[in-house]
Amino acid sequence: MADSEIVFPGDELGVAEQFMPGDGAYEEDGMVYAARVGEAELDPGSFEARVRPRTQTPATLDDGDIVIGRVTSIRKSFVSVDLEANAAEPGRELPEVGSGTLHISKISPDYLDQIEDAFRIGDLIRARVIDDDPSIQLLTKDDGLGVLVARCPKCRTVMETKGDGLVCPACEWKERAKMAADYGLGNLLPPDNVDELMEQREQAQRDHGIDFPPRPQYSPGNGD
Amino acid sequence: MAKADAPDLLNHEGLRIAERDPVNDEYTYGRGKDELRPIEIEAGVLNRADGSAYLEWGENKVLAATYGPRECHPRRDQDPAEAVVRVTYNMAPFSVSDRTRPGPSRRDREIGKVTSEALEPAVLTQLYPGAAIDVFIEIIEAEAGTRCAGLTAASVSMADAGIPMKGLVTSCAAGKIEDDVVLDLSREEDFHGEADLPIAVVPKTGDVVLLQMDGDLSADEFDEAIDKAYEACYDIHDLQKQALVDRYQGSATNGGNR
Amino acid sequence: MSDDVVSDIQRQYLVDLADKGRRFDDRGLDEYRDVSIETDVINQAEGSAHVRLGGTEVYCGVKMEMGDPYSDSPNQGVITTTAERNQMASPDFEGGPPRGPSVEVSRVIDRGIRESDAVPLESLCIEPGEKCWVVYLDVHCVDFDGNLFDAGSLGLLAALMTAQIPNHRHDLGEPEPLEIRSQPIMTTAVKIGDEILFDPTDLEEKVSSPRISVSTDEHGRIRAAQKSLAGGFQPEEIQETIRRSRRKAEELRSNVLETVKK
Repeated sequence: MADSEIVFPGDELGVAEQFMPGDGAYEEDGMVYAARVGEAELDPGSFEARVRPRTQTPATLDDGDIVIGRVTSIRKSFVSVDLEANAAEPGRELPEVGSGTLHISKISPDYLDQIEDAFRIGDLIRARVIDDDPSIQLLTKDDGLGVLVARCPKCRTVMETKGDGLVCPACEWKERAKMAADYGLGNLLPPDNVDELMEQREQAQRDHGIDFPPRPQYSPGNGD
Repeated sequence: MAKADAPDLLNHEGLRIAERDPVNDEYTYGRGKDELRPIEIEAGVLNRADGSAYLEWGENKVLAATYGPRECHPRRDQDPAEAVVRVTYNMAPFSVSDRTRPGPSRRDREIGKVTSEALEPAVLTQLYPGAAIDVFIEIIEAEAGTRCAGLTAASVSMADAGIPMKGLVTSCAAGKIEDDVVLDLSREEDFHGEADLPIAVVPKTGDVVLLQMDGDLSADEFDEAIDKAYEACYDIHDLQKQALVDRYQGSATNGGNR
Repeated sequence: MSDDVVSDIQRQYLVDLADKGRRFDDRGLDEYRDVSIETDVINQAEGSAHVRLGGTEVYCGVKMEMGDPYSDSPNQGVITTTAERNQMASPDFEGGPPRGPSVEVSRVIDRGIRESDAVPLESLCIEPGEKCWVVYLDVHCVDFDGNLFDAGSLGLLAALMTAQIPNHRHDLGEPEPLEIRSQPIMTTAVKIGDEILFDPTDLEEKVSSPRISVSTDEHGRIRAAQKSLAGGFQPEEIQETIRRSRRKAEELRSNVLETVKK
C-alpha cells in the first residue's frame, strides 16, 4: 500500500452530511474529524470516515477475539469468567475489567454431565468471544481453548497433564478437565500445532492414560 | 524583585541570554524576544508504557508516559459516565540545582491537577465510562517552564497510546523581563524577571485550557503575553505532529484491534 | 493484564526452559542483556548517567551539598542513596510513600557502594566537625523490565566516576573530580526451577524464587550481598552463584570504565 498522508487528532475528514464518523473519528458541529494518528479512510459504500491507526490503540474485546480469563464462579448451567486480557495484546490492560459468561453447551465438544468435569474455580482459561453485546459470551469448545493453568484443589500445586486429565505432581490428586491443547506450555494465543498436540495427548492417553473418574466434588457449595 | 547578582537579561542589542557557562557564570546573548528555546520531541520512547514521549526544551528534559484506558483504582476516582484523566507530575531529585526530596510536593500536586484539567477536555472520555487514563510526567532535568514542557510531552504520549482525542494540547509561556514582554522564559529570566504566564491551548479549537500567572503585569502587558504564548503554541503543535510523523511515517497501519 | 496471570501461565514454561539451559529470550543463563551507559546527561547534577539494561531504563544522579558531619564521625562526609520505582516505569509500581521493594533497592545499592569504600567518606570532609559534603545518590527508574539492582548500581558508579565536586559554588576553588577508591559492580541472579539465571527480566523475577544480588570490587572481593524474594538457595548454589558473579562483574566493569573514559 502506498504511504498515504498521516492525519492527526482534530484533522478534518469530511462533512457530516456525506460521512458518518467511523472507527477513530468523531463528529462535531457538522464536521467529521480524526480522533487518532493514522491514515484517513473515506468509505463511499458505507458512508463512513475512519482512521486506520498507526499507533497502538486501547485494548478491546470483540466477537472472535481470544481472551484470557479466570473462572470465578460455577453454576449449574454456566460459568462466570473474569476477563483479564485480549490474548492478542496482553501488554495492554482492558479499559474495563468485566466478566464473561460461558454456557455449559459451549464448553466442550463432548457431552458434559456437570460443569465441574471441565473447570474449577480459579482455573486460568483461554476462550473465544462469541458475542460482545449486550454482555460477553464465551466458548471453549475448540481444541486450542480451555484450561491453561489449574491448581490442585487439595495442595494448590500447579497440575500437569496426563493424557486426557490433570494430575497433581505433589499429592497425586487427579481429575478431568477441558484443557487447551497446549496446557502448561506458556502460550497466550493458541499455537499453530494444536492438531499435533491433540494427537500426542490421545497417544499418551492410549499408552499410559488413567481412566479419569468424573470430577469429585471437592469443595461444597458449588451447585446452584 | 531583581537580585543584586542578576545578570543583564538583555544585552545592548536587546537580545536575550542564549547560553550560560555554569562554571564561569558567563552568558552568551542571541535569543530574540519572540524566539522559543530549542525544542525536540520524540514519540514512543518507553517499552512498558502504552504511549510515551521524550522532550527537550532548552535545558528541560522531560519524559511522559500514558497508561490506559484501564480499570480505575481507587473506585472513588471513577466516573460512571466517562473516563477520568489523571496526571502525576514528578521531579527527579537531581533535576534542579538544590536536590528535591523524592515524593510529590504541593507544587507537584497542583501542576498535576491543572495539567489533567487541561488534557481532559481534548479526550473523547465518553468512549470509556468508568475507566482511568493515567499520565505520568517525569522531569529529568529542569530549567524553567517544566509544566509547559511536561504538558506538551504528555499530549504526544497520549496520541502515541492511541487515546481518542479531539486534538493535541500544546503549552507555552510568556513573561516579562526588563519591562519587556517576551516568549518562553529561561532559568535566569524566570528567576530575575517580573512575570511568568504559562498557558495551554487545544490548537484545533483554539481553547485556552490552562492559565497560570505570577508576577506583575499591566492589563496591556497581560494581553500581549497571552497573544505571544498563544501564537507560539501553534508552532509547538507542528513539532508535536512532526514527532508523531517521525515515529509512524512508513510504518504499517496497526489495523485496529483485529 | 494482571501480572499474576501472565506469570501463572508462563511459570512452568520458564521452568521447563531453564531445565534445558534456555531462556525465553534465547539468552544464555549467565548472559546479560545489552547494556548502554551514557554519562553527563544532566547539567544540574554533579555527576549523572543514563543506563539501559535491556528494557530497563534508569537515570542516575549525584548531587552534592554542603552539610554538617555526624557528631560521631566528625572527619567524614555523608552519603545517602535513594531509588524510586516510578509509576511511569511499570503498571505494577505504586504511588505513595516508598514501600518495601523501593527501600530494599535503595539500601542494597547503597551497601554495594558504601561497603566497598567506593567514595571514601574522609575525602568528603571539608572542615572536621564543622562542614562536609553530603552526597545524594539517586536512581530514577523510568522504564522497568527487571533487575533494577544492577541497572541502578551501574548507573551510580558511572555517575560517581564522572562527578565533579562543586567547589566553585561554595568559594572553595575549582571543581574537581570525586575520589573514587574502588569500583563495585553488582550482579543479580534468580533461581528458576533448579537453575540460576543472571540479569532477570521482570517476568523472570516474577516467576522466580529466590533472587540474589552480589557486589564485588575490582579485586574480586565480595563487598555486599542480599538474598531477596520468597524461596531459598542451597549453600552450594550460593557459592557457585558468587563464583559466576565475580566473572560477570569483570565484564560489566570494563563496560563502565570504557564509558567513563570517553
